[in-house]
Amino acid sequence: MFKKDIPPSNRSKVKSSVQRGLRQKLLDTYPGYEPFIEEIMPKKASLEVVKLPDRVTLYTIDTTPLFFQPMDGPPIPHLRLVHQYPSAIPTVQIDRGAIRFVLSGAALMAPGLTSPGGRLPDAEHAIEAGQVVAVKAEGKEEVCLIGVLKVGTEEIKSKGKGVVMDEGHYLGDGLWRLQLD
Amino acid sequence: MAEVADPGPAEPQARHIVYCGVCTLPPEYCEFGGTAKKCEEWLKDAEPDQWNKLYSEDALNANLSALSVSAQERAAKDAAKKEAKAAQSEARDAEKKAASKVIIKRVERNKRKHVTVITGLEVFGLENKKLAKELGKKFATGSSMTRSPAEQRKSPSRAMLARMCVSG
Repeated sequence: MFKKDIPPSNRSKVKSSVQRGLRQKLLDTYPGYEPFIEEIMPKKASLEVVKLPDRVTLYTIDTTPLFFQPMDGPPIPHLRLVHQYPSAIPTVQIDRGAIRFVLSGAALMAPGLTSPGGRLPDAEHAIEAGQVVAVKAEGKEEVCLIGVLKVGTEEIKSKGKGVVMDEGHYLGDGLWRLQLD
Repeated sequence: MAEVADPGPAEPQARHIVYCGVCTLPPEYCEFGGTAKKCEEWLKDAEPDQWNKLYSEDALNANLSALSVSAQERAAKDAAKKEAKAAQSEARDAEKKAASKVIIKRVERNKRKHVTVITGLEVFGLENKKLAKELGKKFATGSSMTRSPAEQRKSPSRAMLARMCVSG
């Protein structure tokens, strides 16, 4: 999604009523952020919005990016936010061999998740297609990719082939390198 | 006042994360960034603890044993290629920097009024639009950025025009 560098663009303030709505939406989408919401997005802080290419909007407070939202999708937290509160979002894990592909912006493929180094949640905690997941890597602590799953985890297990996540926000992409000041 | 088990002001629960000063990734992922050598040196200086954890013999061996031999070879090859590419682009940048000049011109506008034109700053990683504002403040003048005609077509490289009225 953000393979290229993002040119600096204008920022504008968000209306406080809209800000409240966004906050609610974020909580609805990610109940995991509930305990931290006051810290992430204090009621007083003024949220700003930055327009990114491909009709994506990025919400920030001061110079910290919080989350971005594609035109037709749910809000997705910025990786820095994910690193700060890693427990808030369901995660899957890829094997070591897949890291270098992910970090160069390739689509996430199923074998990286089903191989011995990868990890998927068990059937009880299955993640549906269309949900946002954070992707960890084998032997690493931090999340390296976040995006919307294209295929449910159970289906990944049964099929074991094909693209699982088309485009996401990965470490070192344009959004990661974006300087806000 | 009764002493109640007050949770107190909520402790900040955010984890503090150190990002690499060279490639901006979390240090764990430096090895995939193409500037692994530099990152390692940086980490050794800045965060010795982390360095120990990531680059000690044990850690390296553990990483290697996790992959099959052929995959390892491929990954190594890929990494080498990436590193070479990064080094190359860096060298190119340095060369460009060394060769480029910042030109400061004084152009007469109206007898005793002059404009100072500065070009060539963009090579040094300065953002012209912001710089124009800063310079304007610093010298108490108007200041703006314009693209020179030659560069008009290429949008990323821009020339700068700082405009100052100087009398006398």
